Amino acid sequence: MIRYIVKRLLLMIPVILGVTWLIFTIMYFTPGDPARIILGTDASEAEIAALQEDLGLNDGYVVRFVRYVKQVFIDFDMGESYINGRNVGEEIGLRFPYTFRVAAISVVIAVLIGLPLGIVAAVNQFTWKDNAAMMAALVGISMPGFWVGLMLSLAFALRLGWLPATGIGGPQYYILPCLSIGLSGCASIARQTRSGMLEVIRQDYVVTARAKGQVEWKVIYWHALMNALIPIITQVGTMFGIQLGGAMIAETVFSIPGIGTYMVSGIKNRDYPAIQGSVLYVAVIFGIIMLVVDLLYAFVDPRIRAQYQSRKARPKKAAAEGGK
Amino acid sequence: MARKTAKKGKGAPANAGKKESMLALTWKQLIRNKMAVAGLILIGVMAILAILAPVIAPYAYDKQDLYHTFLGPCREHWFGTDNLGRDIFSRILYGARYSLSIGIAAVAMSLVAGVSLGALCGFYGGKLDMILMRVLDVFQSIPGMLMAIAVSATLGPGLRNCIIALSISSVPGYARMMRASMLNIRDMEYVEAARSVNARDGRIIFRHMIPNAMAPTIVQATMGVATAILVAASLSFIGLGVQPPAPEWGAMLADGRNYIRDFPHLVMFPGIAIMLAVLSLNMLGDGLRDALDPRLKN
Amino acid sequence: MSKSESKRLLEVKDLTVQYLTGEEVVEAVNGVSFTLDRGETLGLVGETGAGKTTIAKSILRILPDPPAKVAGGEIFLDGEDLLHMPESKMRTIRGKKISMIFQDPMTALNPIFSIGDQIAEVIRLHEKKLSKKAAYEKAVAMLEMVGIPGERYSDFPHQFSGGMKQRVIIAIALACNPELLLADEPTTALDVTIQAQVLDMMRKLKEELGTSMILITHDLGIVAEVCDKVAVVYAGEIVESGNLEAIYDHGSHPYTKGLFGSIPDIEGEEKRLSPINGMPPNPADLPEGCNFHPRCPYATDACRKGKIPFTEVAAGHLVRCVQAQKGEF
Repeated sequence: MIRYIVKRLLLMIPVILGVTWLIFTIMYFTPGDPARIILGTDASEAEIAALQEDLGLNDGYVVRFVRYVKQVFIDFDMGESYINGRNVGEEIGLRFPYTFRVAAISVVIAVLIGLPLGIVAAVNQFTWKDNAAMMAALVGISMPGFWVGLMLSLAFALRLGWLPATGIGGPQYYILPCLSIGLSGCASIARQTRSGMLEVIRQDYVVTARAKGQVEWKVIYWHALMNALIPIITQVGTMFGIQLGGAMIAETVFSIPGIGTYMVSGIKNRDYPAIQGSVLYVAVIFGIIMLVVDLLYAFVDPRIRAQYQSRKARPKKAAAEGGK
Repeated sequence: MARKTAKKGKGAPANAGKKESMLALTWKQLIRNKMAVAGLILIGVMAILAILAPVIAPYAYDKQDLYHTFLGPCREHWFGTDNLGRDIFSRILYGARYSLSIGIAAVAMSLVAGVSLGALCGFYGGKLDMILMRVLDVFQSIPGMLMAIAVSATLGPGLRNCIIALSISSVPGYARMMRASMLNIRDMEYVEAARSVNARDGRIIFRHMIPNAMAPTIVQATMGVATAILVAASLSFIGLGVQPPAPEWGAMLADGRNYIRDFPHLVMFPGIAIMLAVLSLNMLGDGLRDALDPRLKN
Repeated sequence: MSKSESKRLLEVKDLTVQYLTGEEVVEAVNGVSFTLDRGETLGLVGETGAGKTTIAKSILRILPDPPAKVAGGEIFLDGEDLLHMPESKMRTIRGKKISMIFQDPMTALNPIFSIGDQIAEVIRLHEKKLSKKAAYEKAVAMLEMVGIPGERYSDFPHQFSGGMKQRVIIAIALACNPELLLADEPTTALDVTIQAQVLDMMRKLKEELGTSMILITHDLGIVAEVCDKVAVVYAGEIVESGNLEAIYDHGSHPYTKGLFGSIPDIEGEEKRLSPINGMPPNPADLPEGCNFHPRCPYATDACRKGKIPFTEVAAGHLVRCVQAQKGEF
C-alpha cells in the first residue's frame, strides 16, 4: 500500500510540472504589462522600463519559465503579488482555512441530503417518491449555484435578516454560502447515488442478504450501498477537490476571503504570480484528493485492495483453487 | 457500457437500413419518456423564441427609458424594467440567443476536437495514446470552471472568446469518453471483419467505430450544452464572458445584483431563464440516456 | 393422522404468482400445490423460465415486489401461514427455518465482505445470544464442514473459484440448521467434476442434519440421485408429480416423456435424441386449455379447451393430461 501511495505521488510530479507549464504559458500570452499594472497609470516610461528589467520581463519565454520553475520547486517560493507585494504562498495559506471550512461544510451538507435522497429514489423506483426526488435533483443541478446563493441571501439575509449576507465571521456567516454550494452538490450526488443503487439493488447478493433474514434497512444501507459507493465516492471527492480549489463564484457572491476570491481578483488584475500560484495549489490539492479517493476505493472494495497490493496478494491467489 | 456497445454492435455492420431503424428505435423510446418530451418541447420553444426574438420582443433589448426604471412586472413590461429602464422580457428573449448559441457552439467545437482525439488514442493506442492522455491529465487536473476562467482571461472578454474558453475546458472529457468506448469496441468482431477486408484505418474509425461509440457521447453532449450555458453565465457574472450591454443572462444577473435588495425581479427572471434552459436540456439528456442505454431501462 | 401431521413440513396450496410489467400481467406460477414431509427431498423439474425459481422465492417471500406479486394460494410451514405472516416474523424464518442456495455462486456472494463474515452474519441474525467470538467460531466450523480451511475466513469472494463459492453459499444456507433447504440449480453454474463434489456434499450434509429439501433443476440425472419425490413444472403449472420411481419409470405426461426423451442414454438402444418440438409458451400469452398442447404430439380437441384437472393414475402419482383421464396410459 505504501508503495502504491509513493508511486502515485511520484506520478503527480509530471502532472504538476505540466500544469505549471500550461498556466505559465497561458499567462505569458495574456495581454497586459505587469510593470504597468504594478506602477499604475501615472508612472513614467523610464520607471516602467526599469521595473520590466527588474522583474525579468524582457527575458525570453524559456528563460522565464525555467526561472519560475526553479523559484517554485527549488526555492519553494511562489513569488510576490504584483498588486500588494504579499507572498503568494503565505496569502494562500492565510486564505486556506476559509476555503477549507466552506468546502468541508458544503460537502457534508451535500452528502447528508443527497445520499438518502438517492437511496430513497432507487428503492422506490418509478413511484412518486422517486419521481419527486429526481425532479428536485434535476432542478437542483440546473440552477446556477451563484443564483441560488443570491436568492438565498435575498430571502434569509436581506428580507428576513436572519443571517449575514456577506463577509466572514462567526459560524452564521458560513450557513448561506455552504448551503448554496451544498444544495447544487446534493443534487448531483442524489442522481449518482440513485443510478449506482439501481445497479446493485437487484444483484443476487442483495437477495442473498434478504434470504438470510436480514432487516431491510441493513440490506439496503449495508449490502447494497457499500457496493454502490465507489462512483459516489468519486463524485463526492471531485466536489470536495473543486471546492477546496476555491468556490470562485460562491466566494465572490458572499465575499468570502478564500482562495476563490483571490483567484478571481488575480485574474481581473492580471496578477500573474497570484494566478500561477493559486492554480498550482489547485492542481496539487486536486491530485491529493484524487489519490485519497483512490485509496478509499481500496478501503471499500477488497478487489481493488488486492490490485494495489498485487505483490503480496499473488501467492494467496494461487492458493485459492483455480483463482478467479 | 461494454454490454451496450456489444448489443449495438450487432445491429450495426454498416447497414444503412439497420442504422435507420436504430435511430427510429431510439426516437420511439425517447418520445415515450414524458420527461424527455417535456424537455424537448421546452428547449424547442426556447429556440424558436430566440430565433424570433426580433419579431416577438416588444422592445429593443438596448432601448433605455430613464423615466421608467426599476418597474415591477406590469402589462407593458411583463418582467419589469431594469436600472436603465430596459425591458427585461425583451432582454431575456435576446439573451436566449446568446446562451443557446454559446452552449451549442462550445459543445460542437469541443465535440469535434474531443471525439477525434479520443478516437485516435483509442484506435492506435501505444505512444500517441500515452502522450495525449498525459496531456489530458494535465488539463483535467485543473477544474473546468477555473480553466475556462483562465483561458477567457487570456483571450479577453467577448462572445467568441467565451465559446473558445468553454470548449477548450471540455475537450478532455469527450476525448476520454470516446477513448474508453473505442477501447471497448476495438476488438469486436465487426471491426475485425472490417480489418480483414483491408479497410483503411480512416474508414474503420469513422464508418464503423465512431458511430458505434457515439451513444454515451451524445448523452454527454446534450448535458454538455447545459453545463456550457451554466459556465458561460458564471463567466459573464464575474465579468469575463459576454460584456454588458449585451443581454446575456449571466451579465444581466451581474448588473441586477447591485439592486437585489429593493428590486429582486432584476435577478429573479434571468436566473429562472437560465434554469429553464439548463433544466430542459438535462431532461432531454436523461431521456436520451435511458433511450440509448438498454441497461438502465428497467 | 396426527402423526402424519407432524411429519408434514411444508404445504403449498394453489400458489399463483403474477408479474406486472407495464400493462401486461404475466402468470409466472399458476395454481401450484405440493407437500413436503420432514427429511424428504422434492425435485422441481422443468425448463428455464417454467417458474421453478419463482415458486422457491415465494416460499421465502423474497420475490421482487414490484413487479412480482403473489396473487393467490397459501403456504404453510409447520402449519404456520407464511404468506400472511408479518414481515418481522418472516425474517426470523428466512435463513433460520428456511434457507436458500442460489443458482449462480459468482454473483450470490457480496463481493466486498469476507466470506467468513457473510456466514457469521446469518448466525448472528438468528442466534442473538451468541457472542461475536462464538459466531466467528461457528462460522469457521461451517467453513470446515463444507471443506474450506478455517483460516480462509477473512478471504473475499474474488479469491475463490466457482465451486468454492458455492460451498460458501451452502455453508451460509446450512449455518442455522434450517428445516427446509431450497436449492435453486445449485450445480448448474459449476464444472461437471465440481458438480459431483458439491452434490455429494449437499446430500451428506442433508442426511447428517435431517434437512428437507426442494431441489430445483433441469438436470434429471441429479434428480434421480438426490430426490424422493418429483414434480414436473411446465409453464407455471405442475403437470405431473409423484415419487421418484413413478416419474422415472411410469412418467405419463407427454411433457415428462419428452424430457426423458431428450436425455442421452449411453446404454440405451436409441441412436437419436427425441427433443420436444417447439418452444415453451410465452407466459404472457398462454394457450387455451392445456399449456402443452401446441407442442404435444398427442393433442386432441379436448386438450384445447378448459383447464385440465389432475388425474391420480396410481397412489400419489398425479398427471394433468386428458389422456390420463381417459385411462389410456
